[in-house]
Amino acid sequence: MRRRAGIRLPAVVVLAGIMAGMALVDITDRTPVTFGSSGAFAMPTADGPSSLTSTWFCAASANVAEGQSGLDVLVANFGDEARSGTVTWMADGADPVIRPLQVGAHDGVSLAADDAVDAGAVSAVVELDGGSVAVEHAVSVGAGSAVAPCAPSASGAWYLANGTTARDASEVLVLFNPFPGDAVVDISFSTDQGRDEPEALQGLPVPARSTTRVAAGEYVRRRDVAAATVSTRTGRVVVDRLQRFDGSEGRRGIALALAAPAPSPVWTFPAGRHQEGLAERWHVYNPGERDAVVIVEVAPEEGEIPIPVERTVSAGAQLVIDAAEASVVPAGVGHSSVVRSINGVPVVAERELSGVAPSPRRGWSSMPGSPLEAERWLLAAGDLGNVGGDRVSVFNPGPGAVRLSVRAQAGAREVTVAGLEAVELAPGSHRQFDVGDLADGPPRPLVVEADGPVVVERDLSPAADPGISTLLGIPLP
Amino acid sequence: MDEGEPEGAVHAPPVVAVVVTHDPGPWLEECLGSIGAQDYPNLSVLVIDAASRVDPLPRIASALPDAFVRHLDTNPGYGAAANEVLRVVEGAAFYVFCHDDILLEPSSVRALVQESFRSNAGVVGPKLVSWGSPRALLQVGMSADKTGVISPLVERGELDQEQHDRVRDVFAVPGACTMVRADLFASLGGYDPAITYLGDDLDLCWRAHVAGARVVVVPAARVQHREELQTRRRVDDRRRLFARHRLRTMLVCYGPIHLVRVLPQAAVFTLIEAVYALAAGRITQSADVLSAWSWNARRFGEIRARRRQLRAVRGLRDGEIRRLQGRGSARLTSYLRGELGSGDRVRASLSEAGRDLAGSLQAGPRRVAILAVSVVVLLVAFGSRELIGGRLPNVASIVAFDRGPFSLLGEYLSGWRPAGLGSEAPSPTALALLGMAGTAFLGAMGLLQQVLVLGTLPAGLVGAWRLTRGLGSQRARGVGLLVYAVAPLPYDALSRGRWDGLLLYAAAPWILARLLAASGEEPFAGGTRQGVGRQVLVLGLVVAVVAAFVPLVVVLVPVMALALVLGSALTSGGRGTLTSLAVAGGASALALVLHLPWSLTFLPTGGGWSAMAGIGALGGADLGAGELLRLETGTVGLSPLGWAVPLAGALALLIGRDWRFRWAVRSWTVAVTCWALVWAGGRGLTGLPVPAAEVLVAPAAAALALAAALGMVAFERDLSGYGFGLRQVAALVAAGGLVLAAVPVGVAALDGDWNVPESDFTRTLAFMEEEEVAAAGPFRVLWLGHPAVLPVAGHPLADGLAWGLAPGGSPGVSDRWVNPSGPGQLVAEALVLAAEGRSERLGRLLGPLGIRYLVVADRSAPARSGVALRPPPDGLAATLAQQLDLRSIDVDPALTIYENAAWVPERAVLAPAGGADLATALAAPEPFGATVGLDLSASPPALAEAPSPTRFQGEVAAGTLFLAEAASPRWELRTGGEVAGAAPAFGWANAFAVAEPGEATVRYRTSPLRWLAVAGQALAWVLVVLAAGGWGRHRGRLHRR
Repeated sequence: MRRRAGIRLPAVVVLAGIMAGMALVDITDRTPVTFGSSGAFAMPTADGPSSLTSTWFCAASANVAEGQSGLDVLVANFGDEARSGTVTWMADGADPVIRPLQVGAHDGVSLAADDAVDAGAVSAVVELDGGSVAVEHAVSVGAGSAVAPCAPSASGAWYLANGTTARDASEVLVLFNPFPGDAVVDISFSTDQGRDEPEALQGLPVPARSTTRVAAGEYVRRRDVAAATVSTRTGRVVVDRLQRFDGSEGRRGIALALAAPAPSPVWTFPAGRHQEGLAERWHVYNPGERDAVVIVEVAPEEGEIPIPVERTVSAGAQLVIDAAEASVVPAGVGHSSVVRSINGVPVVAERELSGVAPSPRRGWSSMPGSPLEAERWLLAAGDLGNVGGDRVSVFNPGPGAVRLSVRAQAGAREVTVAGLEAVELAPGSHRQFDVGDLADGPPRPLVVEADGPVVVERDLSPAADPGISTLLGIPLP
Repeated sequence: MDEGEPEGAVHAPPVVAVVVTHDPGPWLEECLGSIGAQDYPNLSVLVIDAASRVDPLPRIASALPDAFVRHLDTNPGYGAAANEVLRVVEGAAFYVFCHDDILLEPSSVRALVQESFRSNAGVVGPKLVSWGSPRALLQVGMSADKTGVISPLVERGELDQEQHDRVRDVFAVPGACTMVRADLFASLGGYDPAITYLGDDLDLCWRAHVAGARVVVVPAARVQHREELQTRRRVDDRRRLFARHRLRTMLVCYGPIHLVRVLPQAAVFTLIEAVYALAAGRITQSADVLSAWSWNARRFGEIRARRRQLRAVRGLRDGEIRRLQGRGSARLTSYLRGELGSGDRVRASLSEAGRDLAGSLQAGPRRVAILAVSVVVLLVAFGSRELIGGRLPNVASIVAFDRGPFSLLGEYLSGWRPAGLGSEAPSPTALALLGMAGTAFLGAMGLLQQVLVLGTLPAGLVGAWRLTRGLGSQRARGVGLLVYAVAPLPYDALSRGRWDGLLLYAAAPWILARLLAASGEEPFAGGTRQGVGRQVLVLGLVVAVVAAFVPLVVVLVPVMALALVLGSALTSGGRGTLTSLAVAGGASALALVLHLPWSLTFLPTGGGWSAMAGIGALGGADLGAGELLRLETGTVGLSPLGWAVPLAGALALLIGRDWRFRWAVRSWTVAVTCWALVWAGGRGLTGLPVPAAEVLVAPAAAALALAAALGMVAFERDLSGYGFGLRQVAALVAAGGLVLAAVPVGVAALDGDWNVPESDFTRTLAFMEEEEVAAAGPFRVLWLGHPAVLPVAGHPLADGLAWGLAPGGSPGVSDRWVNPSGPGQLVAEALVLAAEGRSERLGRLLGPLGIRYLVVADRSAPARSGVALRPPPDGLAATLAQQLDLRSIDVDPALTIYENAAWVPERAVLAPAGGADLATALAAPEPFGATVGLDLSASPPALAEAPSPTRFQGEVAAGTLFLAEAASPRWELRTGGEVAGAAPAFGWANAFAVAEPGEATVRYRTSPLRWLAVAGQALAWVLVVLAAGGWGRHRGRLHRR
């Protein structure tokens, strides 16, 4: 009996101890599991060579006239293998037209929608049988042309920090649904006069495999700035902004931009300049529900680095910071800039260049910055015809110097652009190269490769025609 | 006519009453007196004494002086003794064969003779009523099914209100009093002399039918029957004799064609009954039914002779006789009434049982037990009332038994597993078991599903009752039963659709009982009567049956045994539990052998652990330690009162002494081990996926029930040894807690359906079976979701995400077992490609796999059913929404369904769009590179008919016939008498070149090796069943006797 009593306590203690341990160390918080991506991507990036397919969506066309879209699709293959696939032209009210597509290794091709379809509003889906491919699209009208990257993926939300429905401007949001199911979207604006959610743009259907064009001016009239959010209730879409100016206020031409698929705490602009007649503005849009505190850091080509400009962007609001008014950098001094949210609230930022006489650059461009840094960037667009300027700007945001080279995709091979090999770039600095002058032969897709993270921008503004066209490069894996 | 003969005797045909007697009891005089008192004018009496130990002649002479008496030196059995009439009597028109324990009413013989003439009947029998209670009916004729299992036509003991008093044809009349036309009796050769007792009546009547005679029951003739046969036999061999004689009669009476049809069915029934009896621990019953076959096999010569003899007088074909037999299976009916194995005894000892019951109610401990049993039966029956007889919704792993038994058996035999994308892999043994069970249920698969799902509740409760048998306390058994019944676990399993959990609930107490018995320790030493080998066989058979549906049990049983060993270590002793561990290990090994070759899929080279244990944490992740202790795995019975269950189980730890304490510690160690496994597995600490929480918690529940029962024994035996203190208080608290523990489940029982969802996805997915959809060709459905909500066997894809394939429409029973072999992983590869953003053409990747719909489930039942939400991981919806060829269909909030615009029918003539190079794509070794750029969506379907999963036929156009099944040279195409083999397509499927359009058949040729494997497996099961049933030993004993 005594022996049993001696056994009882340890046995009970052991059993109770295990159970108490389970109760005390009850781990219930588990890391959320994900499978695949959420669908949101920071900016257009190219797939690696192991990808089974590459798909790019090009939403906007210039809609020049009936039966004439003015859309060119620019496909660049920076890989070592030729790619084949299809381009599907989707015109409103017509069956999709599928055309085969071949792109040689280290080569690029340009496909004109007007060669395939007889329509004004055309969108395109480019599908290729592997990675190492990037696609841009260009729209051309008589008063100029503009280039923007196509989207490698659709998204459930798109953001535009800028846009204008001023007297001389027309802004069109191009909503492209390439999928077999219908999409339903809500569109809201944040303008210089407050927030607006037009009733007609709530629950707006975007039928399957079609494009819906929303003239922003019909809903937010005469706004100097009209930031926008396009969010889907069902389905996914691709959103471009097509901006035109009639010249009545001095601005002429056309501008094209792919909306940003996600806010980010950092947006980098490798180039920038303001001078008499050429205004440079940063547009910061906070689509979230918390106020954002942002700073604009400028790295000028010469002189001291100025103190960053700090602003608060209210939730749901947009803010414009004029480079001249803020006096962050002297006129005529080239610079790079970074818009950074210092309280962690992600925002969307664009940089606008608006040129009127007496500036030699006349036109309007507004481009989202880059939320990413990468060691390799692709500049797909080559010859747009009557090109007068083709400048590549590279910004080194890191703390150390980098060496970079620029290589033209010269058809089956890469050719280093003369004078652009192992160019050193100091930390926090940027350089601009006029590749139109440096490259041999016709313009080709370019790859900028550095031994550290950089951000690359291209300025394709023609010298003779009106309009300013700037776009970021496409980061490569 | 002699002087003194009654008037009219000369007109009445002569009747001889043949009374066969052996060691008659005091009732003999009454019996003979009643015969002598018959008002029939031309009746003689012949008493045949079959070697009674005391010569009954004086008693006969005294009771019936006119009777003739014939004494036999040996007792050859009733039939052989009765046949003496053929030797000693001449000129009789009728024989009335009588047992010596009957009492005829005065007009009985007259009524029988009159009706025999009126109906031109060859065999007539009276209404049998109980001796001394003539208002209580015993039998008014009998029916029999095709295997000779008799079933009464009236309810035994039913009050006789003349409701059955009409003359009618029956298949047999009871042998207690049977009148047979003398010429018929002679032509039939009398009773079968080999049928000593029991079954002689069926045999005679069946042969009378064969000879073309009618068998009629005459209720106007009323006979009281004492049924005293059993009291005069020293061994209770009724079940054995019935089984033998039934089979003998069948073998003699059926013609060859019907014998070929019916004999296999009888064999299946026998096997099922034997396995069931073995699982229920009735080993002798199992041996009895199996030995009937060997007994008849040894008498094959006799049977052939009797068949020849019967053929000479055959007047009716078997088809006509079959119409006289009862429809369906009397055995099944008996089973459903819960009489299997005990029916004969029940009949014999009904009154005894009544006396027992009355006695039990008067005895204190038994009163508690009976109260507990009554409460439990009421609780389960009341709580399940809406489910019994209704349709069970197909939720999670409770899937519809949508295929017939022969279809399941065909799949099992074919050697081709259609699950997933098909493969040449062994099919789960469960398909064979379900097929056989479905045959026994005469194809009533819905009923079989009900039995196999809802039947787990009573099976588990009976197991719990048996688990505590060795404790020697009726109160303790009642407590154990109550604790097991009020555990929310099985009801949660029902509501969550966890059939595997229910099966373990049913099996766990039986398994634990075998482990306890194997230990040979007090008070469970009863098992030591069996050797270790026999224990391994019996437990192995139980484990094998359970493992057919829940393979993890082969691991779980040794874990339970190991926990017993650990518990013994805590109490410094218990070497017997090492024997339990050895038995458990042996049993699991045996179960694996019995499941060969299917069990090879559990190897790492097959499906590995996930094929055995499942594909993810199926519910353990959100269970806290408290919920585990309260045995709550779902929403049924949630209440703080649930703490009473572990509280009741803890009493023995506090007050138990000696073996009560030792076994309490061991029980708790088993429970804690199981809880810890659920707890750790659900939190990813085990490094391996764990099955549904119920599977692991069920053994814990059984162990807790045992601990609670031990607490009751300790209360009875040990508490008085302590001075008044906390222990007494604890005992009172435990007793009160036990009552309170029943409250939550009792409240949950009010709904009558244990919160089982009212609806399932069958209606939601019904559109897939519409004619318009089906006409587009056969297709597959890809299910995606959390492992806990998938209604198909899943493969892991990511943490909390699994996929599974099902044929078009709602998943069925054969989709429940994962097929780890074959090219099924292509599905996962395609999904990963899409998830990584390496393709936006998931539809084209999945299209050639025959996948038309992708169904993403975030619940196990439609949203309105209120089942818990288990959404798939973030990103899945975005990945699918990103695909260019998937179109979303709105059906139910619980499901997101995508239709694949690029799907290709499973059997189609390939038609690539745009004139793409099909030949190069077909020959490509890597499937996705070949198909991602190929639009095959316009390919027309072919071979529309599918008589089986391995045979397709119908029209086919000229071109490349594509078969979306795993590539195998055993697929062949037959067109116009020509046979063509399959060529690989896309690196995984099959293609056939069809030159001319027309009718064609594609079929899979089963390998001879598969037949060998099936034969080997069947032989292994039969041997193990026989060995576990102690057949050899039993036969030896009979031989010696």
